[in-house]
Amino acid sequence: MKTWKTNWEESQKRYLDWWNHKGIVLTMWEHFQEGVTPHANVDAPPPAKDLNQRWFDPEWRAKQLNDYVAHSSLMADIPPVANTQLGPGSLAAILGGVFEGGEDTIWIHPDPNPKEDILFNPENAAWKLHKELLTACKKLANGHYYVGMPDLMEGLDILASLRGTDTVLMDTVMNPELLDKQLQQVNDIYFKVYDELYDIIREDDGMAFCYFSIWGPGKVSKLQSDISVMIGEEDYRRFVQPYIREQCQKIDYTLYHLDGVGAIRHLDAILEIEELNAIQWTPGVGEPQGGNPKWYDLYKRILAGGKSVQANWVTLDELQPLLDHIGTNGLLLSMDFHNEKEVEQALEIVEKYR
Amino acid sequence: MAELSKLYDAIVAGKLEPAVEVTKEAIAEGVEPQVIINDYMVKAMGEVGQRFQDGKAFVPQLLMAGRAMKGALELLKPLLKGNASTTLGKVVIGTVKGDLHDIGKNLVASMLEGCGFEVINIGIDVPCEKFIEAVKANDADILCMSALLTTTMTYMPEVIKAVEAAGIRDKVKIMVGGAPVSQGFATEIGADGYSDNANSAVAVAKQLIGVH
Repeated sequence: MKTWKTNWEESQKRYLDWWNHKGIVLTMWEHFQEGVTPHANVDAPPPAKDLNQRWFDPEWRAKQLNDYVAHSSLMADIPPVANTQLGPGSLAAILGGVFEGGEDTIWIHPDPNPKEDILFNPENAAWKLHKELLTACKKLANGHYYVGMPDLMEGLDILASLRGTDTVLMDTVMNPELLDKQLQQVNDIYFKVYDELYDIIREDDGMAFCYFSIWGPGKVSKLQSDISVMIGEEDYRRFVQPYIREQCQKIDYTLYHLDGVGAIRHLDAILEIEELNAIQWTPGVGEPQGGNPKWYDLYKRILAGGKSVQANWVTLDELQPLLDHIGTNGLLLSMDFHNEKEVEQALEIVEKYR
Repeated sequence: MAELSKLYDAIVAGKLEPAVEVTKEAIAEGVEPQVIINDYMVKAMGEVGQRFQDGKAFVPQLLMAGRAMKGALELLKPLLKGNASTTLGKVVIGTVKGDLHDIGKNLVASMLEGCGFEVINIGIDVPCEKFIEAVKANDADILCMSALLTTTMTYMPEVIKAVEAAGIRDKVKIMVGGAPVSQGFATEIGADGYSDNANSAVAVAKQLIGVH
């Protein structure tokens, strides 16, 4: 790999340390372009003709992402990665959900013909699109950056996307055996899909995951159960934990996305998953962001549970107090950077703790 | 004789069949629908709502209770027609244009219905004109809007302006809710009420139409 990121070797070591509950990673989710000297002269695509091209034309998106990364700052530990998102939980589209390109995101509508058995169809158009998009991006990336794994998602979140949230939640009471069966089917298909996409995007053994821009020297995934804010702890242990555990056992480096104050009640069950490496905290709308002192105790609990922490949207003034209170072992700081000057200021602070 | 306490228990436990059976027996024995609704169904939904608020029940339990309550209510509806005093008021509810989330909106709809309101649920991705049309067609007392995204909550003031432009603002109270919505936002856009959960939405709705 001949990446545009000049300090990548150093950053890779930091990511590997972080997965193993050591050190500090200083990065951000996605990238900024303000004041950045381009890494290469690349051809930007013409403006997208419509939303369909904006999201679902592999060649157009490959060019757009190539241009985006070429103009993005890769300072500190910001990884060189192209965000190939195909909507939140694009595995649902592969399993029969329906794509719709919106202004800001891709919506995935429920399967119009939901089935009792969740089956993989190799001829599914969304599946072909995943492969075509990643292949086109990989070709254009030419080793300058990673092509990120789309946010496939898993478990109850995928079933809710396919069959409707109400239906799935009521099945926890009315049809628990059906849910057990479908959840295992989703997991089995997840691994098949994941492995095939991994083989397209891998650089040696390493890869990057789009969501939260994380990198690891093997298979990497962000795992979640956003729907779990609506269920109790007992149901979490039955319908979520076993399937997340299986993912953690089969994927080398795993990050759990804990979303919202209502999800904290499941933290003990999450910490019980021995193979899980790290937990990312998203406070949710109406709450202060990840650098706020309100979350120090949560971070301490995660670290004491043997998992690394990812704190998001940390601001410069929150950085030093956060490090003073949380410590410096196993902390990924996903900063709210807007320009390179801010990165330099953050680096000055972080270097004192390394 | 129908043991109506079993209706209360069935709704709290989220069991449809026993709720329907007891209601059938009560109807056959000539028990007033008002008594069945107010003394058992509304109280049962209130109990479930309280458990939800206290963290002792979760959304599946709320949905199951709503399903049991609706099953029983369907049997009573034909007996209620033409009787204006049978519902607390009419509510039109929907998720605003550009937003396809429906779980929170449906929970509020279930709780309102379970607690005695007539609810007209007009779905997701609802534009201004559809809200206005539904309010007019149903002579609604309250218009409820939901949004889960910061990008779609900005549509709420547009709906309020459209309601004003349609000349019906003084006839309908407006409530807003959803994860990114706050009391401050509700006040700023000129909504009459705000709630951050399905249980308190009932209390706010009652307050808005002067029912306690």
